[in-house]
Amino acid sequence: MSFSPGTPLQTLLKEPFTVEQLKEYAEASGDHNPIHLDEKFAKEAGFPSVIVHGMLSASYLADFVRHHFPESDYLLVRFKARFRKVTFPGDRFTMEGEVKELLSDGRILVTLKAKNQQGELKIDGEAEVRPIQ
Amino acid sequence: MRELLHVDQEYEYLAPLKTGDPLKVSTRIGEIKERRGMYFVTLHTDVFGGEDKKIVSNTTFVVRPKS
Repeated sequence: MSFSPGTPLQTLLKEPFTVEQLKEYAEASGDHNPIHLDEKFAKEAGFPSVIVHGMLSASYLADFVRHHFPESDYLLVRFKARFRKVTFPGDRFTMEGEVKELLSDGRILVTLKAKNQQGELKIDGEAEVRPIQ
Repeated sequence: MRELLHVDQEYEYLAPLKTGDPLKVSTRIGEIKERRGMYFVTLHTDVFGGEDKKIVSNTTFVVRPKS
């Protein structure tokens, strides 16, 4: 498959984040910060509810990259996520992306966005992949 | 109030890690920038697998003083 700058990647809609999922991610990652787990603590910290672990939400963007550039065919050489807004349980991501630039040695630079169901930009980022010879 | 938030994360995968690679992870404090009373702290991390550097990570947190 060939890509050129400006080629959009087909959007991907994910399931909403859940409180249960945050508990599971805390166990898996070792990040037990109560801001992700304890409703009372999160409210005292000024948030309306617990917040989604940044790296859990970023993993959805990494998954989006892999959806379009599978491990069997591409190496992931760089991945960057900027957390623009805090993500909450109930937020449902739509992922968008575009081929930005074709770099040297065949690398492909793509830009990435994760928006919730209100269209708020939660994360943007970029990734570079290189086809496996 | 909110004290620390993860605002930016980047990984560069220089070479694949292999099964059995002994890992060494080294993190150093990079830039600290102050903006409107908040501190943006960037950490640089190198992951070595054996002798070779395999992954470079840059992590930025924003730290807000307690109010």
